[in-house]
Order: sequence, then C-alpha cells, then structure tokens
Amino acid sequence: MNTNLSTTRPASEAPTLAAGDLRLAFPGNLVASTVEDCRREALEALQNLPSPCTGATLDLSGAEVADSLGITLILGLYKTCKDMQLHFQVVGANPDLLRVFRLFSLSRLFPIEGR
Amino acid sequence: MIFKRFLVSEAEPPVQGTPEPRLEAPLVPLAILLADDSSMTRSLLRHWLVKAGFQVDLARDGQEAWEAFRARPGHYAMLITDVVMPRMDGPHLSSRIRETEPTFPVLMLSSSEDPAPYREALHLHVDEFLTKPFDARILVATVERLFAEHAGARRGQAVRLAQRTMAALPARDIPIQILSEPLAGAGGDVFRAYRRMDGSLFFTLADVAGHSVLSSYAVAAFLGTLSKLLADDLDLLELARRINTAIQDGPFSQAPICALFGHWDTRDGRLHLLNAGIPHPLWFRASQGRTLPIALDGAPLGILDQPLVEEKVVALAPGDRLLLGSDGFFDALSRSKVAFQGYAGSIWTSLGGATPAHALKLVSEAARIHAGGRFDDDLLVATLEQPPLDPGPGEFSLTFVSEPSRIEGACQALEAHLDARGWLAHADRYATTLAVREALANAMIHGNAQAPGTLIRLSAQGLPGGGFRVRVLDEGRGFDLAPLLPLATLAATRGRGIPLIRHFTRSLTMVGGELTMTFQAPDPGGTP
Repeated sequence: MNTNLSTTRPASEAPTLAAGDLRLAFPGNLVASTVEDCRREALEALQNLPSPCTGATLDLSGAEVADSLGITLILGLYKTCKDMQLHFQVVGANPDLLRVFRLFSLSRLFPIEGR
Repeated sequence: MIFKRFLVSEAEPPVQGTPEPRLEAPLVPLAILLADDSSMTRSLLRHWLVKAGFQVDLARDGQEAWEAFRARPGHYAMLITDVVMPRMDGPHLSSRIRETEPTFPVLMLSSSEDPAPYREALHLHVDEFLTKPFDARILVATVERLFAEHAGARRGQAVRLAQRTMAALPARDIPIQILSEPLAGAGGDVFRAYRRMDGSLFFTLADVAGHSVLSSYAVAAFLGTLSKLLADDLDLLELARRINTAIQDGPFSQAPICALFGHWDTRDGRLHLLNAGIPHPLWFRASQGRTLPIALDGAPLGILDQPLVEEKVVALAPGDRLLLGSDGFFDALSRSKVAFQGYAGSIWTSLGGATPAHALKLVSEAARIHAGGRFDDDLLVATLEQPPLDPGPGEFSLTFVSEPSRIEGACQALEAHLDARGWLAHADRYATTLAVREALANAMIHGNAQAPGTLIRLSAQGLPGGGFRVRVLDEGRGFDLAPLLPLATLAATRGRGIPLIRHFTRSLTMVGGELTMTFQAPDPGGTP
C-alpha cells in the first residue's frame, strides 16, 4: 500500500491542513487487513519528517470503514506524534467514521473534522 | 476410575471403649436415620455408630424422621427408631416407610417395660428389636448384621436397575456409533444419545465413579435427571448447572460425575460441546485429512457449588469424524506405562477410509494391543460423522481460511445474501457490516491466534419475528473475554472490538470459540 504523503497545503477542495503539516492519507479502509501496512508506512513517514514540520494530519477522505484495529492505529499515530511534540488531527471522516470515533471519545484527544 | 476417593468414607481410627470398624468400603449407602425423642440417647447412639464408620442423621420424633426420609429418597439404608415418641411413634413411622420400601431395614429400640403382645405386633414392621439398655458393641453388631442381610438384595436390585438403564442404547436413526465393553455389571461409563424436538441430537458420555452398587444407583439417578431435564430443552450450560445441583442435593452426592455433553445439529454441522471432568482431549478428524485434538477442561459435576466447565463449538464439514472415548480408552497403559492417548490421533487419522463402525473397532483394538491385551477399566468409544449439510432455506454458510485479507470478500458475500433476503433493507447496514468485520478479525487474531491453515466459519440465519443472526466460529480455544469489560480506555492498545460489536448488535453471546450476534431489523412502518 502506498501512503500519500505531503508537507504542503493541499488543493482547496481537500480537507483543512495546517501549514507545514505532514499529510497522511491512505487510499482505503483502516481495517484488519490493511492496518499493518498503514502503520508501517506511517511510522516510516514520521521518522523521515521534512523540516520544518509542526504536526501531522490524518486524511480519511479515502476511507469508508475503520474497525477497532483502525481505531488503535489512529490512537498509535496520535501517541507517536505527541511523543514527537507534533500536533495531530484527523480530517475527512465520513459520518459513519465519526459515529465510531464518538463511541471511543477520540475527539477528547485531538481535533476531528468531518467531510 | 477417576474419583474413587470420593466414594470411600474412611472411618476414623478406633478409640478406646468403642467398637472397631469392620466394614470394608461401603457397597450400599450406609446412611442411618436415627429417631429418638431423648437428646441424650440420640447423642450417645450417634457417637457409637459414627465411630464405627456409619453416617447418621438424627430426628427428634417420628414425624421429623418421616420428613427426612421423604426428602432424600434413596439416601437412607436403615432406620433405627424408638417406640414411643411425640407426633408420630416408632411403629407408625416404620409402617409408613415400609409402605414405600417394603424391605427397608428397621431396628427398633424397645424397652423391657413394653407389653409382650405389643412387641409381637411390632414385628410386622421391624427386622430386629434391641432392648434397652445395650452397649456399643451390641448395637454395632446388630446394625452390621442387618446390613449384611440386606446387602445382597440391594445389590441385585441396583444391578438390575443399572442394566436396564445401560441397555437403552441410542435409537437406530441416530448417526452415532458406539463400542462398549463394561468392566463390570454395575456403574462405570455410560453413553446416551437423544433426538430433540427440533431434530438436533443431544448426547452424553458420562463416567460415574466406581463399579459398586452405589455407582449403579448414581448412574440411574444421573440418567433419570438427564431425561427429565432434556424435556425442558435447556442449553448445555444450564443443563450442567441443573445436574450439578441435582447431584449435590440428591442421594448420591458422594458420587461426582465426569460428563461430556454434546449438542449436534446435523443439518448445519454445528457441534456444541460442554465438558465437565472428562480428563482427555477428543480427536476430531476433519475431512481434509487434518486430525485435531479438542482440548476441554472442567471439573466433575457435583463437586463445586457452580459447575466448572468448558465449552467449545466445532463446525463440522461433511465427512468430518469425531472420536470420543472414556478414560479407560485414552488412558490404557502399555507395559512401559505410556498412555494410548499419545497414539490415538495418528491412528484415528489413518482410519479415515474405514466405515465409522469399523474405525471404532480398529482403534479400540489398537488400544487393547497397546495395553497388552486387556483393559483395566471400562472401554467406551463413540464416533459421529457429519453427513452432507442440509441448511434451511435462507441460511448462509461460508468457511474460509483464517486470513484478514479474506474478511472483505466474506463480508461482501454475507451482505449480498442479507440484501437478497431483504434483511438489510431497514437495518443499519454500516453497523451490521462493521460488527461482522470485528467478529471475524477477533476470531482470526485472538481465537485462531493467526495460526496458518486454521479455518473460520461465517453463517447467518433469519430469526422468527424479524431480524437475523450472524455467527462467527473459529477453531481456537475461544475468544479472549477480557475485552468484554466496558469500553476500553483511550490509552488501551486493544480491547475495543467486543465493545464495538456489542454496541452495534441487539445481542452478543460467546461460547467456546463461537460468537453469535443478533440484529433487529427496524419495523419499516415504525418510528425511525
């Protein structure tokens, strides 16, 4: 799986990203069959941050489903960013993803923006 | 047998001035019911009898004794009673008991002051008189003699009872083959199979401790209780609970029972097993040539207040064959003290081409040869073979390799089936699919522990009254129950799957590797 990584502000139709953010976008769902690839590539990107970089944005525009393993992946990314003193946010979540995020109170930890 | 220690009530060492116990381990329940309105007499006689190795229950008058006798049918083996007591006297008590059990041993403690004609009349309902005063040695000798006189009759009665119950073999239309070689005519291992009202099969392989008359009574009591409870159509766990209670409250509480229960639906191949104390794995030969042990733990029924059992659900494919065996089979020892259990799996694998009955004969013969030509315990082996599946209309079943990359395809196939039946038209599609995804991931990662080559079965069925049921079954030792706790904390690295399933389903149950979810289709005409 290829992540779509960017440190520049995206096109106007894309979700809001802060300047200098690392953009993490996965082309599919965050589920049991994909999370390991996603985790590996995301950690690789975080270990090779372009400079300057002040935060990371997870763009879920391409995801329709996130299961519990996907939630755990998102929480892992948040903790890694926190350890690296990077702010973290999630954008582009569809209403069903927001429903699951609410179930686990993720918005208490980081900003979440819907589509 | 396994629990012999529960059968033998060891008498305390003799103390000075009391008779020395002479009875061997009891062949009949030697509980004595002692009725006397004098507390001093009750205490003294009980002291003598207990020291001699008997179990004694006390009653303050005839009425109390009669109520105790009725409350514990089969528990008492002798009545010792005074003549004159309040509420109900000794003769009346003896008469009532003899109406129930005409040969029940009765020892009456008379007084030299009783009129002779009265004593003669009493002979109608008693075996023996003992005239006060008497000492411990005379009392114990009299009791032992009465027991000895009645033991033969009681043994014959028990053996006939056991033979009658053992003779009721499974009905011919039940596709379970058994091979049985009892070591003795009483007690021991027993196998029963029954067909339930819905067409599914129930079976049990039970191991009742010992081969004495007591164990024969325990076999009969167990089968009687089982027959009665089966009519209530209980699930296996509730059945085990009720039997556990029945043993503890019944006349043979000192005879715990190892039991394996199975509930087999031949139409969809679902085999639900519950184990309570059978101390060895079962061997499950899959049609693909795999032979797997099904390891189940548990404690015999009747020991703990709540039964300690383990459950497992197995998805049988056509041709799959299960080997059940008693401890006499699996524990058959070679001259070098090696148990046959270590060879059972590979031998069972090699017998895939034989008919079930022939395979049983061959594997039993292999065990006999292993043991040097003879068994030291009951031999009881059984096998069942899954016939072609015959799922009901609208049922969905898919078996596939336990690999996360297969989840997507399985969910799509299930969704297409649910759509075709119209079951998703008014259901929460996203929630349903997410719950199924979670169940599949849980089964693969935790149930099957990501072991290569293990299988998952996904099935679905409509429910009476609307809604549908989805089941996910793994081949491992079951789901990790820790995540059943309330929603995991934010910091937790796992434990979100089960709460998520529970949130998006109407009900969630997990039994022995099987997760069952039900979904309620909202009423299309109802309020959203």
